[in-house]
Amino acid sequence: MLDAAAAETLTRSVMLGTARAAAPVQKAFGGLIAPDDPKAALKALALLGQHNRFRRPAGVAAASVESLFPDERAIVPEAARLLLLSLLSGKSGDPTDAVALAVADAMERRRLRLHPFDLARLEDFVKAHADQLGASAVAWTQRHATATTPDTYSFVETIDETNWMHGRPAQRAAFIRGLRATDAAHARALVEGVFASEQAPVRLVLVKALSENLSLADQPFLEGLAKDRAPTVREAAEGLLARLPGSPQAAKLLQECLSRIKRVSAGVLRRRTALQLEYPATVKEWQREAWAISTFGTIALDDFAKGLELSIDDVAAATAYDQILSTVLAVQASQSRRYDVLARLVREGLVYAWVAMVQADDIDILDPAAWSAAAIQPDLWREIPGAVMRLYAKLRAPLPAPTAEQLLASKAWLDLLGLAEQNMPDPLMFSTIATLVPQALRDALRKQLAPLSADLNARALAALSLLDIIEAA
Amino acid sequence: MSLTLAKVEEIAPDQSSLSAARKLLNPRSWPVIAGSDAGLVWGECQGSGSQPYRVVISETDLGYKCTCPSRKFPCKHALALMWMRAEGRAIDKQPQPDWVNDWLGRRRGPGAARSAPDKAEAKAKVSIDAALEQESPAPDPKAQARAAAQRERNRAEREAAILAGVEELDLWILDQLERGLAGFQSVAREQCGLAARRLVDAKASGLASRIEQLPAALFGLPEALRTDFLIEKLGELHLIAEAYRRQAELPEALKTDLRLMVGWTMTREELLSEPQATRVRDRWMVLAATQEIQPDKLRRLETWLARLGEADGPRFAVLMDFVPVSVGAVGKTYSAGETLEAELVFYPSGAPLRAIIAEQFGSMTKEGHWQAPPDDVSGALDRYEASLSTRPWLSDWPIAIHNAVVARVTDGLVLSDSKAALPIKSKEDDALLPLVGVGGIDAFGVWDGRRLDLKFAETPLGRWLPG
Repeated sequence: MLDAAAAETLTRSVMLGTARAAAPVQKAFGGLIAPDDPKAALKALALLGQHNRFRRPAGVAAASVESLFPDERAIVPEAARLLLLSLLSGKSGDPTDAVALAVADAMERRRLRLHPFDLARLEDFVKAHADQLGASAVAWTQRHATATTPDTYSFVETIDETNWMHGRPAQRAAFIRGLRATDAAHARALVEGVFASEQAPVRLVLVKALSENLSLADQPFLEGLAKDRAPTVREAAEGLLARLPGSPQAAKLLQECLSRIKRVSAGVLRRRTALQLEYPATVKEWQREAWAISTFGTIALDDFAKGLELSIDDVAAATAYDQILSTVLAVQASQSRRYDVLARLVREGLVYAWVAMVQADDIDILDPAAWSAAAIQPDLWREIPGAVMRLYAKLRAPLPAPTAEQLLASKAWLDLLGLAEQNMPDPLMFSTIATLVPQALRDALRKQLAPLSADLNARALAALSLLDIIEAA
Repeated sequence: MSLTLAKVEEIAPDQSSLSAARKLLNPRSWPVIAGSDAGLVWGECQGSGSQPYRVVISETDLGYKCTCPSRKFPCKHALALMWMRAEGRAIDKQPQPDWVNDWLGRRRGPGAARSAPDKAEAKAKVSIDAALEQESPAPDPKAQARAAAQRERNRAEREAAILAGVEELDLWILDQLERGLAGFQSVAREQCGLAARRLVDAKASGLASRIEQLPAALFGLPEALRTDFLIEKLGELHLIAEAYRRQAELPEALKTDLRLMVGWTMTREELLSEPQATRVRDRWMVLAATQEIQPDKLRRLETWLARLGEADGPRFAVLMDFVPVSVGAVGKTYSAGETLEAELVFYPSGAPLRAIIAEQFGSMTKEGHWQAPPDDVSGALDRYEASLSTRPWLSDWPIAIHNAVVARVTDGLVLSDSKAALPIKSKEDDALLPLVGVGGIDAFGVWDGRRLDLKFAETPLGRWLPG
C-alpha cells in the first residue's frame, strides 16, 4: 500500500510542516483516505507511524562476535563469585585494602581471572589491580581508550625475553627484577636496549627494577642517566648510585650521614660511646624519623660501621641511646639483607622498627619471608600497632608460618580479641590479619575470630573463605 | 519477649490500623507464612498490588518490615502477622529466605525498632476488642441507589470529558503537523506539558501520562531515531483518539485495553471477576524487576515473568505497581531468577501482558534454569508484529531469543543470530560488554520497536543480569 518513495515524501511533509509542504495523502494511500477528510493529515500520520513500526532492523553483515575481553586464564570458581562481589564491589569495604590486594595476588599466583560478568560490578577492584587479574581485567580498564589516548602496553600472560617489552609496565619491572636475581648484567642489557624509546613512567619503573642485585657493573649505565629528560628518572638513578658501595654518590651520602652523627658519652657507672643524629633546622621534630630513614636508610650497613670505625655490634650498642638512629640502623640492616642484625636489634628493644619500614614508601622489603622472620616478633609486642593494616601491602605475601603462629599466640593479639567488643577496633585489623596468615593457619584464625560480632569479623571470615577457594582452585 | 495481644495493641499506630489488620487474619490472605527458631515470622500477603507484600516481624524485639507503601508504622500487614502470632497460630518452621536475611543484615538493631515511649503514650487508645467489635453498618438500599446513580452520572460526565479531550488532542497534533515535526524537539517539553495538562483536565490521565513521558523518551534516543519515533508516537496518539471515539466497534478485550490506557481503572476485584480475563496457572520465573520514576511522581515497579511450564496462555507477563515517590525507596519484592507457582490473571487486551497474581501456591524458590522458546530473531519479530497487529498501540514487548550472540556493530551492540539482528539499548555501566562474543545464549529483553533493552540471559558462562 505505502511504498518507500511515498513514505519518504510523507515523512518530509510532516517534518517540514503540512502548512509548507502539504502531505500527499491521496497519492500515498489512494482512496483509503477521503480527500476532503479534515483529519486526513492525522490519519496519514497514524498510518505512516504504523507502517514504520513494521519495518525490521537492518541485517548483521558487519557484526563482530570477537570477545572484547579475551583471556587465557581460567575463571574463578563459582563459589568465589559471591564472596568477591560482597567483599570487593565497594559496598561493604574498600576494594583496595589488604583483602583486595591478597585476593588479587592469590588470583595471579593461581592464574585465575574474574568472571567476565563481574567486571562491571567490581569496577574499582579491577581498576586498582588489573595487572594481577589478567588480560581481561586490563582490557576492561582500557575499554574506553580511544585512538587519541591509546594504551600501548598489553597484558602478557607468560612473560619472557621475547615479549617482555610489550608487557604492562609493572609486568616488565617484575620480569627485570626476577632476571636481575639470576643474571644482573643481562637484565641491565635488556633495559639498556629499550630504554631510549620508552616513556618516562616506564623508564622510571625499569630503573627502580635494577635495585635488585645492584653492583658496580651498573654504575656506568646509572651515571649515564644523569642526563635523562625526566627528573624522576634522574632522581631514581642517583638513589641507586648512592646505594652502590664504592660509588662516589654512596661515599658522599655516607660522609653526609657521618657529619650529622655526634659522638657523646653515656652511662652513669660505666661510660660508653653513644651516637646521636643531628637534623637540619628545616626538619620538624615529627618529620625526623621519616627524614632519617629516607635519607640514610639505604646506606650499606658495613660501610656505615666502617665509616664510624666501629664494629656492627658496637654501632648497635652506641645507637641504642637514639631511637631514630637505631631505627635507621635497622633499616640499613634490612636493606643490606643482614637479617641477623635486624633480628637482634628487634629483640634488644626495637620491637616496632618494622612500623617505620612499613610506613616508608621508598623502602622496599627485598626478601619478605626473611624480613618478616627477623622484624616481626609479636611475642614482644605490648599491643598490635595500627600499622599492621599496611603490612600486607608492604610484604605482598603472608607471614612465614612460625611468625604467624607466634602472632596468633601473642598476648597482644589475644588481648585485642578479648577486648574487641569493648574497644571496637577497626575491623580492617582483623581482615588484614586474615591476609597475613598462611593457609595452614586459617582454621585456627577462624576459631579465634568466631566469637566476635559480625561487625568485626565478617570481612575477615569472608576473606579467609575466599582465599581458601582461590588457592584450592 | 513473647508476643501478646496487649503488645500488638501497644505498637499499633491507631485503631483503624488494627481494624484493617483484623481483616487480614484470614489465612487465605497469606499464601506464604513461616517462622524460624530465632523468633522471626514472615509471610507474603496479597494486597491491592499485583504482587504480594513481604512482611517479616521479630518476636523478640517487635521489629518489623513490610514492602507495602503504607505510611503507617507498623502497617496493617505487620500488625496482622503479629496478631496471628500472638493468638498462637501454628506456623511452619522453615529456613529464612534471602529477603529475610537481607532485612536482618540491614536493620539497626532492637533499640531502633522500638517506638519512643512518649509517642506511644501520646497516641489515642487503641484496642483489639474494639477492632473485633467493629461491624459494618447495615446497608441502606436508598443510599446505595443514590450512590449508584451518582456513580453513573460521574461516569457519563467523565466519558464526555474524555471525548472532548481526545478531540482537542487531535487538534493539538494537527497544530504540530502544520508547524512541522522538525521544530518540535525545541518545544517538546512545553508543548507536551500543555497537552498533558489539558488531558488531565479532561480526566484522561493515562493519555496525559503517555504525552508527558514523550519528551524524555525522545531525548533518550539517538538523533537518527528521533524522526521515526515522533511520527510513530504522535500517529499513535491519533490512533488512540480515533479508537476511543469508535470503541463500540472494537472487540471487547481491545476496548477494555483501550479504556485502561486512556485512564479508566480496573480494581483488583474487578479484574478477578472479569470473565474476559485470561487466567494462567503455571510456574513462573522472575526475569527482571525494575523501577522507574515517572514524570507524574509515581515510581513504576515492573516485574517481568516468564512461564516455565506447559500451560496454555501468554508466555510472559508483567506485574506493574505504582508507588508515590514521596514514600521513599521501595525494596525489591522479587529478584531475577526466583520462581513461583501462581495463577496469574491478565488484564484484557488484544495482546495480554500485564497481569496480577491471583493466587500464589507455595513460596518462592531460587532454583531453575530459564530456557528461551525456540525463536530466532526473525521468529521473535514475527510474534512482536502479530501482537502489534492486534494491539496497535503496543509499546514495550517481551522478546526472547534462543541460541543468540551479542555482537558489535559500528554504532553499538546487537543481539543476533546468523540471519538477523536486533539493536541493543546501550547501558552506561558497560555491563553488556562482557556478553559480546559469548555464543549460544538464551536472551530476554524488552523491545520498544527500535531497540532491545536486554534484561536477562542464560549463557554458557552462567546467568547474566544487568549491572
